[in-house]
Amino acid sequence: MVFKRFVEIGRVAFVAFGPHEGKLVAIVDVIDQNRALVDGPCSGVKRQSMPFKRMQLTDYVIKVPHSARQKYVRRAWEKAEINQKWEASNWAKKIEARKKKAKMNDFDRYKVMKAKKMRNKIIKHEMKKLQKAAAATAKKKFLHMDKLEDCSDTATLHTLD
Amino acid sequence: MKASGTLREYKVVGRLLPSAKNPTPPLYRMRIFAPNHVVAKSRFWYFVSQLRKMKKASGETVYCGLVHEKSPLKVKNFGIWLRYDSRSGTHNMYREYRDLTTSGAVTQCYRDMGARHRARAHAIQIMKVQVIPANKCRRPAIKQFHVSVCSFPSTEMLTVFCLKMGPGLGADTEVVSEHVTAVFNMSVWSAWVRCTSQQVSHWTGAVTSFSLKPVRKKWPNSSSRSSLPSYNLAALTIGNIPT
Repeated sequence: MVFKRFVEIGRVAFVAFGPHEGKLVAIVDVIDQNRALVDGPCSGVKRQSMPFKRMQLTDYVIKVPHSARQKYVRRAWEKAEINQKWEASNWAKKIEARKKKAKMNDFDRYKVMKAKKMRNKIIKHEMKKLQKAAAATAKKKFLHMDKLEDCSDTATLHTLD
Repeated sequence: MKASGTLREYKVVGRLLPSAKNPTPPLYRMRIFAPNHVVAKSRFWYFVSQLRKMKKASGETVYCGLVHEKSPLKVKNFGIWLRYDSRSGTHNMYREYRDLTTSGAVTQCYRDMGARHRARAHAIQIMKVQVIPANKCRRPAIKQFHVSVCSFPSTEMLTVFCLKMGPGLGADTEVVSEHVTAVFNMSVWSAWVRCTSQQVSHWTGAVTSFSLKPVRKKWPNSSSRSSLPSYNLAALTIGNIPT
C-alpha cells in the first residue's frame, strides 16, 4: 500500500498549525479539494472549515455518518476512546518530549548532562569487561591452535631426519 | 468594486423619492455581495440604474443590512450565474462552487474568475446565486464530492510539530521530514535523575541484562585463524532502571 491514511469521514487529524495547533479533530465532511468541515468536540475545536494543509492524518477513524451533528461526533469519539489512544501513541509522546526539552532550564540541562555521563560510563564499563573476556577466550584459542601447528612441524622434522 | 477579503451579503432596499406624480414609489430590493455596506449601497445604485429609471440623486436607500448565513455549518453546492466583460466582449456564465456560506461561494467565484479569465471585480456582475441540490449539479469538479464514501489520501509533507514555547528556542525551524531522529525520552531521564542522587555502587549490581552478541567476522586472508570478535554496538540494551 502506498498510502495508508486516507482523508475520509470520521478520520481523526492532528492540527499542525494555525489557531488550533496541537489539537485533534475529526473530519466530518469534505467541502472541496482543499477544505474539510471539521469538528473536535472532545478537544475544544468548534465545528468549522479547515484546510487539509493544516491537518496531519492520524491512524484513528471514528464511525460517524457525513455531516453528523456534534453530539454524535462526541459520542463516537468517546466510544472509540480517541483521547486515551492518542495519549498512549508514540506521536503524542514525542510531542510531549519535545515540549519538555524546550522547557528545560539550565539546571535541567545540567541534570541531563550528568545522567548521560553516568549512563555512558556504565555502558563503557560493561563493554570493556565483555571485550576483555572475549579477548581472553580468543587468545586462548589462538594459543591452542598454534600449539597444534608446532606439533605438526616437529613430526615432519623427524621424518626428514 | 474591489472584492477585498471575504465578501458579505447585504440586502439593500431603495426607491425613488416620492413626488407629486409618484407619491408612493415602489420599493426595490437587491442581494448585493460587497466587502462593506458603503460599497453595497454604491453597487445597489449601479445595478438599479441599469435596470430601472432610478438613480441615487433622485432616490433613497430605505434599508441596507447584513444577511447572515442560515446554516454556516452545512456544506452546500452553489450555482452562480454571472455576466462578465472579457477583453473582447461580454459573456454570461454559470459556475458552481462548494462552500459553507453564500458569501464564501461568491468570494470564491470572484477569485476563480480572476484566476481563470483574468476578469477584474469591476467587470463582473453576479446575477443570481442559488443553493443547488446535489443531483442538479452540472460540473464534474463539484459532483466528485457527491459520493457517499469520499476518501482520498493526503499528500502533504509532514512537518515536525514545533510548539512555540518561548523566545529564542528555535521554534521557527521546521524539519520537513518524517524521519526525525529520536528525541530524548524524558521519562527515562527523570528515572535516571532520581538514580544519580543515590550512590553509584547501586548501579554496578543493577545493570545485569546486557545483551551483547559477538559477531565473528571472517578476515579475507586468514581463514584458519579466528579474529577478535567485533561487537554490534547497536544491540546494547540496558536493563530496567531502578527507581
